[in-house]
Amino acid sequence: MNDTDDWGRDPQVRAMRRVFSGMETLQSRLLEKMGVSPLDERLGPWRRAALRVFEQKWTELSGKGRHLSEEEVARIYLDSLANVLTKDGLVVSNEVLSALNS
Amino acid sequence: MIRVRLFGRCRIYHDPVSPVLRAPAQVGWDAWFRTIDLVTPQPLKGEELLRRTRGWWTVEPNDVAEVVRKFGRLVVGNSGELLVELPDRETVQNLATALKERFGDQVQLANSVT
Repeated sequence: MNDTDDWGRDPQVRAMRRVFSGMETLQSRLLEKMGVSPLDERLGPWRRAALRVFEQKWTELSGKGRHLSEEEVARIYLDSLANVLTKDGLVVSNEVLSALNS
Repeated sequence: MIRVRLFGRCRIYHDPVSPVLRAPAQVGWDAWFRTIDLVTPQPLKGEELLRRTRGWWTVEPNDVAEVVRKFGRLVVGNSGELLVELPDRETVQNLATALKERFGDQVQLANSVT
């Protein structure tokens, strides 16, 4: 890691770091529960598709003036990824999603 | 041969990012005594693209190159992605382990399928 973290002094940067960290954690946990390897060749297309869905949802909700917490943003990404996996034929159970969302 | 993508972490937001060469450099020439109209595209090689991550990734690209070289070679994919070319799946796993030991979760591998 770089020795000095000047960017970390900015509260908005720290907030975005927490958001991205939350997204990455939920993604990892979902893929682990689904038995998907980090090197699975389907991950690249899934991530791109999930990002498109996520950005659309985030824009819609933000545009309605709704303030989203960092946790809510991460959960929107999780739902977007789950949605993509389901469309690709994987079974993402409500139990799995509930466990990840808790 | 197996090709995998190399992701570091953005120095600002700490999320996984990987450089992509969108277009090669267009190199022309100026001369004192003549006009040279020739312009040639100059694509980057793998290690050259990796070096461009200095200041963008949280880790030093030279340090990453040092680890990667022990297992495979850095190349630029057809779509400009930074890739590591490795002989087999076992070597991919060995590289992943070596990267984790050296950099923790700051450098990761991902499949190269776009």
